[in-house]
Amino acid sequence: MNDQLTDPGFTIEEDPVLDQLLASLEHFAPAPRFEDRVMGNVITPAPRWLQRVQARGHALVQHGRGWWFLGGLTGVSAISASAIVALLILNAAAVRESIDGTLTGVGLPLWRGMLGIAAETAREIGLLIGSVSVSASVILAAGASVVFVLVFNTWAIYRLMQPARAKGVEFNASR
Amino acid sequence: MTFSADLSTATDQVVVEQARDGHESAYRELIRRYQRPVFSLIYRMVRDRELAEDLSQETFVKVLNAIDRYRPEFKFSSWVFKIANNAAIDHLRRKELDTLSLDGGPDATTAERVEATALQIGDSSESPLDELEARELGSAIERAIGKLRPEYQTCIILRHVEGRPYDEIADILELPLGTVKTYIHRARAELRELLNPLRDIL
Repeated sequence: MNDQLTDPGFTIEEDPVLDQLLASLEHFAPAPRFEDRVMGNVITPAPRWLQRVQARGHALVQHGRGWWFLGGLTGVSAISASAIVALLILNAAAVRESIDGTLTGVGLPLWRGMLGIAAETAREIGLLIGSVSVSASVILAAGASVVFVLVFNTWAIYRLMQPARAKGVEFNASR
Repeated sequence: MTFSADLSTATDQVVVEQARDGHESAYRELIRRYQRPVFSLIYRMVRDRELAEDLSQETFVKVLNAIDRYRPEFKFSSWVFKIANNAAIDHLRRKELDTLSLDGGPDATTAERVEATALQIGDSSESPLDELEARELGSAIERAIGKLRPEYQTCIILRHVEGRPYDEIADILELPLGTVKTYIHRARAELRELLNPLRDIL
């Protein structure tokens, strides 16, 4: 290790033994999962492209040009929608003919096929239910259980979301 | 260089760029790179493993949450060590202690506390005798470093344990380069004195 100093008349004495002793010192490591504990307290930013879009949107609104932009966008949408409707009205006969043709050629067979599958499925379910002999009270209990599970799950999800939201607010407030 | 697989070989600046783009893997890479040096520095200064963990965590959370404010013209390592050093120094100041105890942590007031806060030296020696010698040697050096003033300690650890150049240490400690060199010169002289008895066994 060259410890010659650049300052004139000032030199750090070389001492190989001391250097050897200091070099033998170990690097201590934090406890396992240190990385995860740190990441639990770090807020990672949104991707750069999203930050740019947000910044531009924010700048537009801040400079008053946002209203022009939004107004223009709405106007263009309204004109486009009107143009499409007008086009359809002016060509009503041709459009109707085209739709009829599509429905007859593709839609109707498709619809019939779906109805057939639904009817077959309903028949199978009916047969299955008919083969099982359970009392009305069991069916009632099963129904009640389903309703209870549904209500309980909704409540649990609501409860789980509560601390996360509170933590986020608290962390942001402290920054 | 946009994939996490490349991050282990990428420079700090590239990894920081990736972190700024919102890549979690880049954040983790920065933690992996600096967790040992940062923890070692803080642990040697506060002499309390749990406290060192907390202060190291605080350091990384501060650094990573402020990554957007990092200026790439400075070394990332300097920035991390500066925050780590400040965290340790702030803690020592809060404890109103000017000097460190020889064996235990600076705030160790009882024998149990002294033992609990003494640096735990690991080893990788082969025989039990080597192990014992290495442990004793390591403890003696740690004790000698513990006797130095906190600013000397930081300089010695950064220079001789972490291998940081003088100008970076000056950046980290916000001291003139000449002062850092003087501190290291004096710290080495004190250590030489303290470790003199060990020269015979080397």
